[in-house]
Amino acid sequence: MNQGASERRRGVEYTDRISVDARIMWLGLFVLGIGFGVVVVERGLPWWFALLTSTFILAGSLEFLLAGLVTLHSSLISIAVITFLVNSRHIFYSLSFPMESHEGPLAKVYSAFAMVDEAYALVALGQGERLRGRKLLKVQLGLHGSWAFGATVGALVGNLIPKSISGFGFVLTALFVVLSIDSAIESKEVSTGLIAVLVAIVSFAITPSSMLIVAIFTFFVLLLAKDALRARARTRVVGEDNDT
Amino acid sequence: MTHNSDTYYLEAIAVASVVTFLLRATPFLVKNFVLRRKLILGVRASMPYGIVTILAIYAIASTKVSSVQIAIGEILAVVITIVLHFWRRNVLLSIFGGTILYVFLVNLPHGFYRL
Repeated sequence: MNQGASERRRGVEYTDRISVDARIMWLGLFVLGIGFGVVVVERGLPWWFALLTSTFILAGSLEFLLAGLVTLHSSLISIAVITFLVNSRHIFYSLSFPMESHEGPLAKVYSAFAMVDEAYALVALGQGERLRGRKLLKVQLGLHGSWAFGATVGALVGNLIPKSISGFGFVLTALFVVLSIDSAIESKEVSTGLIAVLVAIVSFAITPSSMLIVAIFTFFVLLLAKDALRARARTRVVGEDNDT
Repeated sequence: MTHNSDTYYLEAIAVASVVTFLLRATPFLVKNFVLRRKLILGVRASMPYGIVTILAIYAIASTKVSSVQIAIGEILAVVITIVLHFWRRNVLLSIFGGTILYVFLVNLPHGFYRL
């Protein structure tokens, strides 16, 4: 992080080096993937269920849910609806994901497919300036590979792994905490951060299961309102200046 | 009703995969249109900051707390992560400091709980 900050200060826009944050994300997803693979097998599902979901869906929380849904033989319609509800937050990610930095349709399609929370968080930290183009693709491939590899390992040999390893999934929690501290320091806007914290806590209290989409949508609406108020205040000041 | 489980699993995975991909890809097709609106431009800059913060709280809140030991372990580990990060601003130190403490606390004798 220090490194990233000094790079930005020197005005260096692009290095090919994959940042420490990204590498920790890979490790975190690998560990979490093992946990997911274990859950899949414990639920009586075949090992390849872990491989295929982690390869073709690539959405951690939804995959945990899906493993539960299929053991209950939920209908395909309800699976579609739940997937839509859980992942609709990604609509908001598109507002600030540097898709235009990719060359060629294949890169764009893959980058959209692999737009997981972790990739978004890494992009968000640099406000889309540092992590983009080929480097972003590499980071996404790494996230995808770590998750899929971890899930498959977990499903195949999960019962051989000591249980305490699941505690290491905390690296992802810690990483998100660190990233939000860094983005708070970077943006210097304390009020925006406070709004996000409050919205997240209230959303969790009201509806733990759909907290993410409720919180992100509410935050979006509040930001719109805040922006509109500020714009109005600004035009008023400009208008008064013109009068005098 | 006879149920071929394997086919059903494959169908379920395909449905979830397609819906997820459409949610991620479709906004980019309409993005240019939406982004031209001035109001969105200001919001766009602050969204990442807010979303990362919301994801952090989600990560903390969504841990399955099956015992007091895990709850205390998680609170202490999050606090230590924050303190370490304000102190040294070193990602590796903050994350692994917090994680090692967490793994240690939740695995203390008297509670070999699974998370």
